Amino acid sequence: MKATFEELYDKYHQDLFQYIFYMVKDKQQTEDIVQEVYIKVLRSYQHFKGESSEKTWLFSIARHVTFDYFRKLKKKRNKFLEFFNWGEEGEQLQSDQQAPEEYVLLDDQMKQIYTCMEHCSYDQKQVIILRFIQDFNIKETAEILDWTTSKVKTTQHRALKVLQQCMMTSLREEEGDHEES
Amino acid sequence: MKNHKSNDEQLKEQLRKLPKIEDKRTKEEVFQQIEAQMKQDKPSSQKKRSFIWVPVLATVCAALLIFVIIQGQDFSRSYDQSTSEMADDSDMDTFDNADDEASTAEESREADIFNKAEMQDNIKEEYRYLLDMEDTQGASHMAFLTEQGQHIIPITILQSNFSYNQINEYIDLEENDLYDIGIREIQFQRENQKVIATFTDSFELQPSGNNYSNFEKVLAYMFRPLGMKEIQFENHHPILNEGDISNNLVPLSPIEQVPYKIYQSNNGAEWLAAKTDGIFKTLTAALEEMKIAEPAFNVQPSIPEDTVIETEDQPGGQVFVSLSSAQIGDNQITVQMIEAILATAFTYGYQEVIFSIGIDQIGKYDLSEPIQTTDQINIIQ
Repeated sequence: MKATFEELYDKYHQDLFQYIFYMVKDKQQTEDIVQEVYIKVLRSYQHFKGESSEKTWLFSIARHVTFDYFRKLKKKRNKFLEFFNWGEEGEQLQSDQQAPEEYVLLDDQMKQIYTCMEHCSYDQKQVIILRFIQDFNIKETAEILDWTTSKVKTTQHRALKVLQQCMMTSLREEEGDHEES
Repeated sequence: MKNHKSNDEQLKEQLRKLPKIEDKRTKEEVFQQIEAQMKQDKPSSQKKRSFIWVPVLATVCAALLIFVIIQGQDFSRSYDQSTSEMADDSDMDTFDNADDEASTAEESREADIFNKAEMQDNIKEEYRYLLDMEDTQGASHMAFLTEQGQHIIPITILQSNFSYNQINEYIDLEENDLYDIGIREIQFQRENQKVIATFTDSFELQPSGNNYSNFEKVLAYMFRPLGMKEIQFENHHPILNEGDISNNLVPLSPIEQVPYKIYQSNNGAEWLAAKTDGIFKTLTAALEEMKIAEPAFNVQPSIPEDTVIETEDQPGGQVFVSLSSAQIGDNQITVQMIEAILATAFTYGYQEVIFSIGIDQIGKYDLSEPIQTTDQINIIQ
C-alpha cells in the first residue's frame, strides 16, 4: 500500500492538493479531503482498469469526494438555518475560509479573480480550475467530470462570462469609490 | 467581438497565473495520517455494525411479544397500526445507520443519479415544439404565405411517402390562415439533384413583380433545404415573365439571414414565420428584429421585447447567445424563443448555438450543451 501511495504522491500530490484547495479555499479542509481521496484511491486501486489515465481517474475520485464535502456542508448549513430560521443573511454562510499566505502576495487584479471565482456555479468553478489552473485539456476535463466535451466547452464559456462580469462590476465599484473620495 | 476574445484570452492567462498552492506536509506525514485514519475506520465500522443489531433485535422481540399478546387478548385495530408503525420506524433507523456507513463515493454517485432523474422529471411534455433536429432524409418541405402575404411559413413534413398534392391530408390551410400561392396546382418531380415542375391548368397567379418574388421565395423554401438550386418548368406561365429567367429555368435564392417570428392564426395555432423583407446582416441584428411585434400581420415577437441580447462567434460553427429577460423561464415563450433562434441561426450558417439564458433545461432542450441548428421548421408528422 505504501509503495502505491508513494508513487501516486510523487506524481500527483501537489496537483491534487491544488485542485481541491481551489474548490474549497481552505487549507485545513483541503488536507482532510486529500486524505479521504487517498483512502478511497488506495482501497480501490486494484480495481482501476486503466480505461482512463491514472491522473484523470484520481481527479474524478477527488471530484466525488469534494462534491460530497460540499453536500455535507450544505446539509449542515440547512440544519443551522432551520434552527435559527435565518433568511438571506444565513444563505451567505460559507465554509470557514481563510485566505492562504499565497493570496496575500497577489496584486489587486489577481485578488479579484480569486474572489470572483466564488461567483461561478460549482460546475463552472470545476471547469475553470481543471482547465486553467490544472491545465487539463478539454478531453481530459470531460473524462474527469464524466461529461461530454461539448458540455465542458459550454460550461467553460459561461464561467468566463461570469468572471468577466464580476471583474467589471468590481472595477466599476472601485472607480465609484475613487470618485467619492 | 474581437475585444471579447482578447478579454477571454487575458482572463485565461490570469487564471493560469494564480498562485500554486502547495501542501507543506511531508510525504511521510501525509502517509501516517492516512494510515491512522484507515486503521481508525476499521474498528469503528465494526463497532457501528454491532449497534445496528440492537434496534433490529429490539424490533424482533417487540414483534414477537405483540404476536404472543395478540394471541391471548383482543386488541383494538388502532393499537396494531401504531405498533407496526413503531416497528417500521425502527427499521428506518436501522436503515439510516447502515446508510451512514455507505461509502461517500457511492453516495455521490447516487446523488448524481438522483439529480439526473430529478432533471428528467422536470422536463415538461406539454410544450409544443416546432422544430425537429433529427436527420430525416425523407422529409419534404412546403411553404405558404401568411394572411397579408408579408411572411413565409415553411412547413416540414416528416413522412417519407409524402407527395406534394397530398398536403390537404396533413394540414387544413384555411383553418390555419395559411395561403397557398398556387403550389398545389403545380406538379413536382424530384430527380436526383433536379426538380422538374409542370403548371396544371388550374394554376392561377396574377403576374406581378411582388407575386413573382413570393412565388420564388416559396419555391426556395420548398427545395433549398433539399439542396436544389433551380427548378426546370416544363411548360410556361405568364408569372415566369416577371423573373429574370430563361428557358423556364427558375433559379432559387439561398435562404440566408432570415429572422423567425411567431405567426398566430385565428384558430390559435402558432407557426415560425420567416421575415423575408428587410436586411439583417448579422445574427445580432436578426435577434433584435425578433423582439419586434407586427400586430397588423398577426405576427408576435419570438424573443421577449425586454430581452438583453449578446452574441459571440465561436470556433467550429458555433455561436454563443446570451439572453436575459424577466419573461424567460420554464414556459412556452422560452421554448419558442429557443426554436426561433435555432432556425434563425441556421440561416446565418451556424451549426450549433450555445445558450446562456439562466436555465439549463427547458422542455426537451438541454441548454447545458450546444444545440444543433436546423431548417426543419414547423414540423408536421
